[in-house]
Amino acid sequence: MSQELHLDATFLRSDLYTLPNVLQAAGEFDIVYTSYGVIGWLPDLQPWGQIIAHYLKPGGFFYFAEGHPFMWVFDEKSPDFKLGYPYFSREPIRDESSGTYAEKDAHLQHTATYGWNHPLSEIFEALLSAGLRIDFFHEHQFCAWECLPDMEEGEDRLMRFKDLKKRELIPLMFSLKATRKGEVP
Amino acid sequence: MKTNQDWWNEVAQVHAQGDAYLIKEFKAGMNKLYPLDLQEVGDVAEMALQVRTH
Repeated sequence: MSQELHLDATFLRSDLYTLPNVLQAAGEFDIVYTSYGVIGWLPDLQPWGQIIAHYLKPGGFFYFAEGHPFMWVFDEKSPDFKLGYPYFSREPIRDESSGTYAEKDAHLQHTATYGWNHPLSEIFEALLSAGLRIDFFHEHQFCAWECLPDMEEGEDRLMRFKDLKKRELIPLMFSLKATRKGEVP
Repeated sequence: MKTNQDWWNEVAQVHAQGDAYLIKEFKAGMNKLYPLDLQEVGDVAEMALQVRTH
């Protein structure tokens, strides 16, 4: 892929939790960047935070943009914010859908997935306990995908509620920056 | 995890053939980063970057 795209980059495919077995580069990165629909696939954020810190240089930073956990509690098919999922539960959430979040009209053979909603407290605790300092935390009225009904895409390719009043009601995404302190864990 | 991996192995092919990820545009040089990323991350020239996605 690097050759095809003429990129000075290395692409790896790995289970995140075993990435240190595949990528021997502790403390070598200025930035770890993660975005848009990632941690919902992870059952445990404590090792996630440790692995981020593991790869950052001292003074390097982690940037993270993700669906807001408060948004994830609502039924994605309900236009009036009907609660559909727990905020605090650590149990996996089973979903059955014939399409995908990006190709809603697809007809999949494998239709089941399991995901996890992670409260903000769990996210912050995972990063802080790994030795990261939170530089900023922002909440947003837009989302990178059509996470709830009645949304429209803007010129910036981000999705917002068509109803301007709805935009004031709940956060759809958050972003944060966190800097690594101290020695490589 | 096996259930999710089966789903992703199929979905990755669906997404690669669809338009949602703008793969053709990306290969043609499109910058797919959102204004949010560019504004909040800032200039990353000459930095070592580790990107994670699902």
